[in-house]
Amino acid sequence: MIKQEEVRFPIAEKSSSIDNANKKKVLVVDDEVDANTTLKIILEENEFEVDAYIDPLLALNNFKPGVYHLLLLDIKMPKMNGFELYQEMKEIDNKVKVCFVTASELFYEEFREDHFIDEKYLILKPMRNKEMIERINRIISLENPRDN
Amino acid sequence: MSYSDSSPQRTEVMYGGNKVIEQVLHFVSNARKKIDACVDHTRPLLATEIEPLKNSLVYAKERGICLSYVTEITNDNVSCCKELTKMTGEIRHLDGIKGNFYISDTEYIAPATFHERGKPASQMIYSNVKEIVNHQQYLFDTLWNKAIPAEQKIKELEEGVSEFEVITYHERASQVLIDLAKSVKKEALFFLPNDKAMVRVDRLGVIDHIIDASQNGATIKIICPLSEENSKVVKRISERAPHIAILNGNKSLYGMYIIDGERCFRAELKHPKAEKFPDAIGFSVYSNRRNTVDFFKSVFELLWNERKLNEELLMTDKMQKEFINVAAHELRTPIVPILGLSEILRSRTIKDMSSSRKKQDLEMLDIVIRNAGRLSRLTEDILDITKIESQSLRLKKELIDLNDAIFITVEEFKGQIDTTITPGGGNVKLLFETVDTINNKKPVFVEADKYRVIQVVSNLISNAIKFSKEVGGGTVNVSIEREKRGGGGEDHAIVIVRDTGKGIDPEIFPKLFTKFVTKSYQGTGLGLFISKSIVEAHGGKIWAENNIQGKGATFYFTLPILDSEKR
Repeated sequence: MIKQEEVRFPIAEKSSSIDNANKKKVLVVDDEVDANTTLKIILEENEFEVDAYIDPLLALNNFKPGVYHLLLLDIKMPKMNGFELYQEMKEIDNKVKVCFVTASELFYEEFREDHFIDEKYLILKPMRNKEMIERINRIISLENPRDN
Repeated sequence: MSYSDSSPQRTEVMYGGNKVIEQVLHFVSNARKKIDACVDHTRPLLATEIEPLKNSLVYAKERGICLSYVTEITNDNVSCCKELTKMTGEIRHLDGIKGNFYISDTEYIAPATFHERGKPASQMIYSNVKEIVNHQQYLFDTLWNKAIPAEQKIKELEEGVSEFEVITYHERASQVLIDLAKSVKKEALFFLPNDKAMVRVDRLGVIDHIIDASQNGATIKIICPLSEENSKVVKRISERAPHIAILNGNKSLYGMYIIDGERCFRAELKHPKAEKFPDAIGFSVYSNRRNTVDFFKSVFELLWNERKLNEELLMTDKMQKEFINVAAHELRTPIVPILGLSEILRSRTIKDMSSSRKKQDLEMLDIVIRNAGRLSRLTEDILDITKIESQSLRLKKELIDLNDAIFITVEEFKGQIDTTITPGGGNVKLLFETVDTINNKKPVFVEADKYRVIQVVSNLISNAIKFSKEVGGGTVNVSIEREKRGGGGEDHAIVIVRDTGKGIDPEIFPKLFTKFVTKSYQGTGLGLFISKSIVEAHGGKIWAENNIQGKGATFYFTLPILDSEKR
């Protein structure tokens, strides 16, 4: 199996901190290369600055506090799922906001049934671009970070 | 020599086999009304095999003499006893009879007890002394009354030795269970009442015995609630005797053990958490009676089949869910870049004023976007159908304001259709009204899955818009009414979607809410089937009619209204 991150996604682009730009900064972590590229392009097209990783562990290693307005995390990923990744990142930056993305029915149903994360922090793939950007802007504009 | 009752009263001992036979024959022929015989287990053979004796008995019966015969019926003499039943009035069985005596109306004979098997006794006491005859008669009657009918004993023997024992002494119960486990030859069926029961019987060594039996080819089945408590025992069983079948069972108030289809043991569970078997049980019962064992065995088989079906169902359910999950992920994932990137390309194309092929490029991108959207909707529809048909469509019910939910849905549609001009050049107008005209935003509370209710409303509105467009425009009217039901019935909210489109084709009307029914070239024909399933899962109804006045169709669905006191 090709290690896709090496072939097509060498590394996230170097980024400036939140203060240095007006652009909102989003960290995308999705192991599906095409979905990852798509999310990155859609966000950039809508005036976001994006760091994108297909390897959650690499994303965690490079994660710094106070950099991102939002984490956009796929749930079903190898090595570490999106929830675990968020828990780890929250340890580093406890104010960071999150939105999970998934195409998995199982996670979607869990979201709907268990209430352990509010549905508004979930994007079920595929979602129309306009709707997704609205959802992301809404989460970023929330005043306080989520409690959990 | 004659020994009639006219003879003087005497008692004497006679010697020699032939003489004894002769005496007996005389005794039989002298009898007038009855002969009572109490003999040990060796005698029935003589009565049927020594011809003169047999003949005399047959003749006595013909003379109307009633012969009552009590003996010990055993496996060895059972065939003779069966023959004897034809020659006598009645035979009864009594355990452990020693010695032999016969009493007629007036005489008493007692062949000596020491004799060889199959041979007549060589000594015999004879008496016609009235006192002795009466005395012996009393003895006979006592034994006769204690004896059981031969038919019962013969049946038991033919169907196996029958025992039924209620055990109240718990150490004895443990021993019975250990002995049973040791005795397994062909089959052991264990129904254990709780997870700890397996640990307790293991401490008795029972599990090791059945592991041995399994290794020697016996069939072993165990039903037992499985948990961390007995996981080590289960692991040991599966390692040492992989052919032992274990199914997860429910907790019970008794344990049941059936060995080789011949013996069974049932123990009441009194102290489920006890460490040792004797401390855990109440009274117990052992039996090898055919009927009892058969009954327990059939109960076990029923439980086994039920547990097995249950496991298979769980497995099927799990596989179904896995399929839905994998299919959902694999179908949705490729749509993400197709839809997302073609939308980006479209917006870039609009911005790029220099492109000479702008119009054509936009047309092509619209086709891609439209079809990707269609594929996306089809994917969701098929997943919904799969969930509906596998009964795994789960509702996240909450208190929602139906008025509000529909208002938002209608507004979203308005945003989409305002710019849409139909092929005929007309427009589609979308209106929303509630019956409560005084306060248009009066809430209508229902307990429902908001996402699913919006899905139904969206489906109906989208159909209405689609068919309105096909006739060059029109009006889609969405409204909510409240249906009051008398007699304590729940009130219902009725959501009505009325259009001025082409109406429902009479050909598809009867099967409108079934799968793959559509007259549209763009529809999947799944929407109304899904809507119906969602509405019915909420305890509502859905139906449609063609408008009587004017054109178009009206769709209705109901949801039970949650009264204020219930909220």
